[in-house]
Amino acid sequence: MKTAIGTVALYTKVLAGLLLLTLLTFLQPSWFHLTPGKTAGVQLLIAFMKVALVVVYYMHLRSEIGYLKGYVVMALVILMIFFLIVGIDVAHS
Amino acid sequence: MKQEMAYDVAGNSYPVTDYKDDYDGEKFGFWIFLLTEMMMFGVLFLLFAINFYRHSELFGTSSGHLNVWLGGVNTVILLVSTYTMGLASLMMRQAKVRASAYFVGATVVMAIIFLSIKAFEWSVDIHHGIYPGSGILDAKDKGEILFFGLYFVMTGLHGLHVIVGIALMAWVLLLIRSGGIRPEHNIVMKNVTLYWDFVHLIWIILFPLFYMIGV
Amino acid sequence: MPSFYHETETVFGTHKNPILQWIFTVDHKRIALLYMGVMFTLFFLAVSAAVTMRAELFFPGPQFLKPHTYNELFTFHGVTMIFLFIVPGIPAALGNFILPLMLGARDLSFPRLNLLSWWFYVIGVATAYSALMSGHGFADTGWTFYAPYSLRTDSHVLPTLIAAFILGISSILTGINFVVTIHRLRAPGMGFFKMPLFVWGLYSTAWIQVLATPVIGITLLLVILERTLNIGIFDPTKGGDPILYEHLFWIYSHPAVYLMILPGFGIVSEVLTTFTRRTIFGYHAIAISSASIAGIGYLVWGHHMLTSGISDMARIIFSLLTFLVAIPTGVKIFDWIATLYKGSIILATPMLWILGSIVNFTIGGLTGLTLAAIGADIHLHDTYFVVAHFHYTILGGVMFMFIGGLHYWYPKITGKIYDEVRGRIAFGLMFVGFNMLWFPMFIAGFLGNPRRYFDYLPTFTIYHQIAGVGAVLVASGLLTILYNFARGLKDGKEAGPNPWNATTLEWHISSPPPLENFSKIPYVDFDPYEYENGEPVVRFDENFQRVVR
Repeated sequence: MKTAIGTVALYTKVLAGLLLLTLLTFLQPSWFHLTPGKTAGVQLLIAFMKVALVVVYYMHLRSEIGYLKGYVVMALVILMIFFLIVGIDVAHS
Repeated sequence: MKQEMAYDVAGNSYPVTDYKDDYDGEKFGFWIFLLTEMMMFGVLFLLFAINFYRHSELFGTSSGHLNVWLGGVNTVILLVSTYTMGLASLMMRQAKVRASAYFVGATVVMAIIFLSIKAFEWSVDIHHGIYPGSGILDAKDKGEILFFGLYFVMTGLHGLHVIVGIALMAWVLLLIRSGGIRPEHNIVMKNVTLYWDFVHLIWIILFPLFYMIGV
Repeated sequence: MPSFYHETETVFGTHKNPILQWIFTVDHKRIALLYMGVMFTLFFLAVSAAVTMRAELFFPGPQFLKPHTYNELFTFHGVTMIFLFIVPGIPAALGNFILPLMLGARDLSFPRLNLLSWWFYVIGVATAYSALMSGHGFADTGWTFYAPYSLRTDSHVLPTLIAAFILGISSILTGINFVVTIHRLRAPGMGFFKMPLFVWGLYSTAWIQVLATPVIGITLLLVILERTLNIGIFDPTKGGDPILYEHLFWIYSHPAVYLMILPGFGIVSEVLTTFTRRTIFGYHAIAISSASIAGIGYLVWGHHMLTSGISDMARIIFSLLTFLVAIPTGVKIFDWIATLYKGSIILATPMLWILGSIVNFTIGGLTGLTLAAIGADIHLHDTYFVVAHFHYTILGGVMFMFIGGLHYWYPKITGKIYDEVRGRIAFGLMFVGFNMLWFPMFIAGFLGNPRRYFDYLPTFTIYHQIAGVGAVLVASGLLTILYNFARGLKDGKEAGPNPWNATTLEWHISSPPPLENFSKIPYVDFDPYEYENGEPVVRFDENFQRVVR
């Protein structure tokens, strides 16, 4: 039932990828200068790539049962709705 | 233990899931727990987003006061520590119990280094009079008060999770020693690994928001 | 046959001492009874607070309470009823007992976690009530703890906030337990659409507990930090925003009212089918509507804030979304009425409570739509109209369903049958009393009587006096139920496994159930409510092998 998920080699490859993205996080502000808002946007984009790598390969969400994936997405969607609606309110007031 | 069966009218048998030692159930339960954690931190990120939207320039300048190098070192340490914790879990499944315990130990050491660096950062800030409710901070602009308010709350809560993580990993080490975690019975280890990955995830998002926006 | 009252397993193995056997038990049935014991003690405390307030309001002008004491009383009533009683409510008490029985499981997925949730609950209760002993008095903020007042008031808000946080943990743990149990421990063959509808209610509820509770947890934690460390996030003098507090508070607290009602809806579906002796109309529609109420419930919190300074855009969005809730709820109500049509209706006590709850809840729900309309809400906000709407849904709806469920499963829990005549008298007292208590408040509120005041203009006297009489009737109805249940324990008839001729799995085992419920797990390849000529279709032999006739 529980197939061996991941090998040391895979873990190390993912680690290399994560370190590379972290390096990118550091270098971005010196490569091109942006306003704090835009910096945050670029930085978050990198952060979400890292999050995806960790969730998929280290937390093995990829090989989890279907309904669990669904619930993770559901929780994220609900959280995003909070951001969206409160955001709309704040932007209009 | 023998697998229990249920029988339909025709006499066909179907396996029954018992509540004891239900590996998939316990893992699923822990994932749901992590979703609650995600909602909790999500609210803090929501508060950050709104205040950042309202005071983006001041958030940028406040962020400049934080030490990127210390934060960056911590980022790398936490990153490597999830790698070692993942390997520990992997070793356990491959029945390399001793190697597994060493990797957990390494993870604990890195977690402690992370906390020490964090404590040093905090003490420098506090030494400069920057902490919630201090006269120096309250005299500053509202955006800066909010930035540091959120900074202390969010890194504090994250630090609390690191402390809990250290305690959990110490428990894992004890269980490995007493045989409570074995290659064929490793749900606690699996769940602690998931927890540690989650603690790392929070930091991945937290770090650029607090440290990088003002560089 | 020995039941779970005779033997138990505790978290530390076996104990001789019966008290330790109870408070450390890991048996879901005993934990359910532990919850019920504490919850109903607190419920009666909160009812006494309500009756005291009604007595104060019987005449205009100050009677025997100081204004500040009145503020503490309604906070006490609100905090106790919401956080300590109705939020753990049906899931922790009835759900804990019935869920594994309905699924054909021997316990919840995590029995020890279940015990831990009860302990968190007890610690939360103790923390909340420690404020009463401290000598500073109870919080006077109302159960909503609105900032910035909750940041400034001198009264003892901290214990109550900490208590609500701890109770949140308890609620989350129960939710996790239920979701995993429903996913993992259904008897073989029981797909999601073969589950009884009470389980569907608990399932939707559990997801609200899991995903919404953390929001209030962290929000209250921030208020605690705000009071102790002056963080400034909700404090307008430091640039913080109290409206954000309201957003976050209602992001949880609106789904929380669906958390209260959804298991209640489940009970309605169970009781209605049993006492009409027919399959429920629109099983799938009811099941899906439970889930969609839970989903839409996350989108409508802002209708609590239509007058608190949110943007016009947000008001319109929230008003629109709120109207959407009426659709799945309406689906349910129509399905129930269609179930009654051409059924062999038996007006037993549980059925009376359920029918009463449908009437009350319809009134409560429709007045909710009145309040969802922005224009009307500006007039009605913070008047007794809102309080009446809320009590029609929660007291007249959820509580009636809860009491109906308690009557329905009383034979299963105790093995005895209560006295039917006393049961009906109690229902009569409650139904008449409840409507006398709250219907006049719609009118008083519509005419402009504000809520939370300890006094009112003399023109409103008549409404408050009718309500006062109603309150006495409600209280006596509750005492009658209590007496009826106590007498039933002593000299009720033996119930037997299935006194109501019901169909779901819990009625196929002895009452009260044995320690691990099922000696053998049945195979479930049938729908939950199959009747033929007024008799349940599915029968099992003593080995839980289905008997084919």
